[in-house]
Amino acid sequence: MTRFTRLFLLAALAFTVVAACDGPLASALLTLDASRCIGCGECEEVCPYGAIEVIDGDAVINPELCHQCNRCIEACPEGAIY
Amino acid sequence: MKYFAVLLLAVTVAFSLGFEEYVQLNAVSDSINYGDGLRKDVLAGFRLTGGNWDITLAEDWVTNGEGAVLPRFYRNHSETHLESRITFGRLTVNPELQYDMDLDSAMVVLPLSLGEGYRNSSLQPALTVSCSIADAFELTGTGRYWLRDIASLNSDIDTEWSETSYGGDVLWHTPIGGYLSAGGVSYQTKLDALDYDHSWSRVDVSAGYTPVSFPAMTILSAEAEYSLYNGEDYSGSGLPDRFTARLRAVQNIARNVTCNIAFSQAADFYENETRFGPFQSAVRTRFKFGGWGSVPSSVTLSGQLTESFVTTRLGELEGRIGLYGGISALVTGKLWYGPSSVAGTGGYRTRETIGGGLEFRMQNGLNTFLVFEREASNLSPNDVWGRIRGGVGFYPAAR
Repeated sequence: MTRFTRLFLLAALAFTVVAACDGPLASALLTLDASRCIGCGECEEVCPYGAIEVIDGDAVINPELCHQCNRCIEACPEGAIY
Repeated sequence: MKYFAVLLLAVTVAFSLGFEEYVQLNAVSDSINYGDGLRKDVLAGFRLTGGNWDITLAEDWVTNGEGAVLPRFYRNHSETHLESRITFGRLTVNPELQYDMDLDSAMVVLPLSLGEGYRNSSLQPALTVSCSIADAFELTGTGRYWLRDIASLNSDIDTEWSETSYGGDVLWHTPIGGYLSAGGVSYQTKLDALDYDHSWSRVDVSAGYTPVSFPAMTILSAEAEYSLYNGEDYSGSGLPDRFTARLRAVQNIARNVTCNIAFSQAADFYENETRFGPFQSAVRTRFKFGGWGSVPSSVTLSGQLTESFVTTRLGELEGRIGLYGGISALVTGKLWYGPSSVAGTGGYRTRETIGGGLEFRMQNGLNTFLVFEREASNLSPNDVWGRIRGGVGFYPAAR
């Protein structure tokens, strides 16, 4: 492992710990990580408000219809919604 | 649709065009008694390719059985997706049509607490046009219409729930290795019989950069995006604007070990205040090795932490180890903590899953797998149960 790699991993760990200490933060919008989403559609299936659709392999959340019931977060097998 | 498929097949034979077909059947039980709560998912489709065009037809049929340990909210439905892509030089036209039929009328909650309804079917035509200019610029425009046929429970009124969206973006690949992008999208939701007509829109401006001067076997990329929202959420509050910064890094620690790290932090801007938005930290390490079979072997360890108005933590192990020929051993493990919609869990629950199985990939494109999993969660009284996942797939083009 190079010195650069060790330094990089250490900085990443420190950043994670500091950011995690902030605790839960209020936000009105859910986030979808397109790089993790596999387009399986399970979030669309469990959403009782019809607020999610899968377009071109990525889930899209309608912020106007989302009630933040968190079922999509629970159902997503990839942890792509938070 | 059946006649259309036959017609396309005939065209293929007649003109010797490219033809790829696939079939996949997956079944998952989710119960102490294997077989209860069985979810069946059948995928079938084909792709027809010509000189500058292709047509894809895909059918997805999903049903969910009763008797699972956890209540299922999933819809039983059949989804047909027809898509074509035609290229004229630098211009690409991509028409789509999707028909989704609910097999047992799924319940949906109507907007603005207008009650509940049953969704019978939906139709979704779309058209995307994209164009590249002088290699450095890309222009994309999309229009989409989504029509849902709803039977309202409260008012005995059948209504159509339609959503219309259109948007576009321009992307510039800068000469120094970065990119600049600007775009927007607008959505309108209407339920005619219930007099509901709302719309929201978003404008995005983003930039990214991937420096090339880092040490060998290191890729670092940074992105920043600012999204201006116009509209209201379900409670009538205005949607905040959001700034998101992302950092991704890939480092080859050794010749066959890759480490992928990602961070993301958002900030939300309301009228008079600024709040921290969602945070994400994720790491994934992949170890590749030859194994003893013909299928490449790998073990992937990943973890993720997110903080928004809820917290999630995810740790995952995935392994495929070639044993002999096309036979591989599969290993899965997952630790998850996050929000729960299951009654009695206090809003959060943990899931611990461990499992193993076998996969067989044949040279004729036939794949099959069977995995036994044990899952534990803080439920009462059934906090530990078993599950079988299995599937058969035929992908002749993958030979």
